[in-house]
Amino acid sequence: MSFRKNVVKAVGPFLTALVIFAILFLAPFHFGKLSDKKLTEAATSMSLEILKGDTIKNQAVGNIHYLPFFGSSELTRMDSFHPSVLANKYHRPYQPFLLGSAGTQSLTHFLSLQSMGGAAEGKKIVFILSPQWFVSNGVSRGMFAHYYSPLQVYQWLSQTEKPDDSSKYCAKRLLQLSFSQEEESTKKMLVRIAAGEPLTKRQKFICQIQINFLSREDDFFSRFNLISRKDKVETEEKKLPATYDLSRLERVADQQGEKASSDNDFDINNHFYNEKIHRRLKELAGSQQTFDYRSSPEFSDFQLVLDEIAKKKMDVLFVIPPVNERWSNYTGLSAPMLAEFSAKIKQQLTSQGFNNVVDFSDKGKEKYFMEDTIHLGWRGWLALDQNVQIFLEHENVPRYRIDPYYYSKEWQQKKNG
Amino acid sequence: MKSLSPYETPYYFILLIILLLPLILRLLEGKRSMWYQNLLTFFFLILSFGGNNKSQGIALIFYIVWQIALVSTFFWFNQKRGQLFFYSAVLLAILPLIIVKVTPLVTGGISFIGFLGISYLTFKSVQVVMEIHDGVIKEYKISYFLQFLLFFPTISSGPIDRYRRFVGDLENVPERFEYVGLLGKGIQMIFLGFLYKFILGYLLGKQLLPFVASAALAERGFSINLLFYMYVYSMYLFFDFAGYSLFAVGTSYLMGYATPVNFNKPFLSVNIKDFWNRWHMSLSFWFRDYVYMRLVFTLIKKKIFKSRVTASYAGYLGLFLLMGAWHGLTWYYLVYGLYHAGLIILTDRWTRFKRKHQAKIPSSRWTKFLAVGLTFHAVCLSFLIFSGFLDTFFKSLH
Repeated sequence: MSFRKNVVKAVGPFLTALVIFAILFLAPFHFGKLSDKKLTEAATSMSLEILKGDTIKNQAVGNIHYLPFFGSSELTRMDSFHPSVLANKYHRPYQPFLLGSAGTQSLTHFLSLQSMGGAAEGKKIVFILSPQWFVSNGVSRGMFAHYYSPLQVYQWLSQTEKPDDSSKYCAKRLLQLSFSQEEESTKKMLVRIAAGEPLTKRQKFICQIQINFLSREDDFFSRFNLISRKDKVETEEKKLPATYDLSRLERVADQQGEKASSDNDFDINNHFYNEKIHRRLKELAGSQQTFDYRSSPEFSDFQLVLDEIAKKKMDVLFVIPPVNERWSNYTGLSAPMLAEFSAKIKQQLTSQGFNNVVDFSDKGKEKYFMEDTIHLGWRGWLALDQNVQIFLEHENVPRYRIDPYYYSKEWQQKKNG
Repeated sequence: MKSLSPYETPYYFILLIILLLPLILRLLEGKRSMWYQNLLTFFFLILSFGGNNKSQGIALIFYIVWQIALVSTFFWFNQKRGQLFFYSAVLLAILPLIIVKVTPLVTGGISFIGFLGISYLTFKSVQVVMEIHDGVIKEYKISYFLQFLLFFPTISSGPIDRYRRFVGDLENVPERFEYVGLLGKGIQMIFLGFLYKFILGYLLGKQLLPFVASAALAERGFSINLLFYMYVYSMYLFFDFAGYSLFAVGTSYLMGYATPVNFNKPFLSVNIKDFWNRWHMSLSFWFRDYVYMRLVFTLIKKKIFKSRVTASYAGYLGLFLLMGAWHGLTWYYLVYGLYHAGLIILTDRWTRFKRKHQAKIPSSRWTKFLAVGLTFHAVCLSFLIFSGFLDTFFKSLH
């Protein structure tokens, strides 16, 4: 009898750990919906867990109250005119849900979009694309790896039944960008898809197990606290007039912009200027003369996003931000090149039926439109807000015509639209 | 097929637990299924040294044939020969390791006769040669020696077991009650290892270390960040290696072998001698028994040094220089060895001084705190040298 007791004592803790583990990660139940408070906090968080996970973002996307904003670093520039602040201050019927951070580009957004499943069906979203994504090599391996979500990649893999042009292209890109921490089994699946073959039964099984495990992990850890910028939103809100009046708001924007960019002649936010530019000012003169955003694999990566939007019949407002003209004159960034870039991307959009495009590319000279060199600020956010209101008022049933030509090398390299 | 390094992925542990289960169930009945253990060993060797590591696997086979031929010949003919025979046997046992260590210096590439764990197998083999020579290993069986070398839980990085101790466990299956104790401890060790290696070691080594490293390099000179690097690296080194050792010892326990432990709270040592009795113990004891003791004994017997104290200092110097050279033939490993030899000689001087002036030197709880603190910092400094980061650091200054 006592021998048995000893055995139980020896293996008991291990078995208990196994049981707890199995319940937490393998049992088929969910922890239930997240509270509204949690979602509100998550809306301005932009944390890695939210971007890489499913639980929080999919619940927000499925909720009519939230308007997803896809973008990159500009979303973190939270002044008084940031979409999240304006919406909160003037009790808009929607709250922006920020999906993006410094370095999130088309491929990351595509993986995120497809992982939303039915929740995103017919949804209205705002998509801010940056000319700076479209450098000659496209997204950097480091940045892509930083936002790489194994869960979202397995979801994509498991849903790719018959590889078409878009899935073959995506698999090739993922293989190009693949990094050392990636699982060997994932790479093998990508090789198959890239060759146009469906996954084997065993590979599908691995996907399913991984999705089960990772989504449980995501579900579990989504319960814990995350970074919230609620306080920041509330501080910025206080600087705004009580009622919405455009001309008054424009004056406040100019005042704030003037005050915040007093240290330099470029209308660049003082903090940004002192951190990033001041010390290197001389070497930056003329440093961007050779920059070219007209040919890049990013155009086809972006096509993946468009393809997914069309599949989900989403209604999208696309935004092309400008570059601060005082700054681009100094660094020698070519204005004709920028104009050609926006013509090219607009061709890709409108020829396929994506007609809601706000092109700010000629606003670079407008004072306080940009917060710093390439990020929207005071006046820019306000201008975007006008367009968002119009976009939300109009119910339209989008008709998209997806053209696989945009996955071709020819389109990626083509310089004049 | 991709090979699987021991104790690195969840998959390895799942496989390990499932495949150990039949062995564990038999041991709970007081019996050991030797054929199953051999099958398991074979399987795990294929797993680690097969697939894309096949060239290492072939090197391992040749190495094993070499050592068995050597040790068996030595055992059979030992009685009739003299010292020269013994010395050549030791040299031949170390030869493959020397070639592997020197090749990168000469050709710049990795030697094709090397494989993961060659050092640890060499330590085992040399040990057997020396103990046969001493006459303490009286019974030698090729099959036992093979079991000893290829014991898979410890094959890649130790702990370094002792032949006679191992054979004791091999011949005597633990009694049921005794085994249950081993089983419980083994499971506990493996789980503590998870905490050490995959949580603490990961946070320190993968998250914090790159961060403090770039901070230290960004200063372009000595700064407090270099100190942070030193602490983080030292902690990382401990948790990573102690975690690994816990897996190896824990797995041995599950198989009914009481492989010796490798660490015993090393950062609480009161002096450097104490530290080496607590840090990577199986290695330092090996160096103590098979290098230091023999060197000092020879130095005294041949009357090279008159004083026993001087002989023991020469012994320390030999021990730590050799240990440094074993880690790798770079300046920082050699300095690491010299530094530790210096520290241990200094400690010995101090202990002698203290013994003479016992009445005048205070001793209390606080002096003990001081001693632990001093030892900790002296050790951390040695790890900073060991890390090779200073090499990168100095090069970045130019």
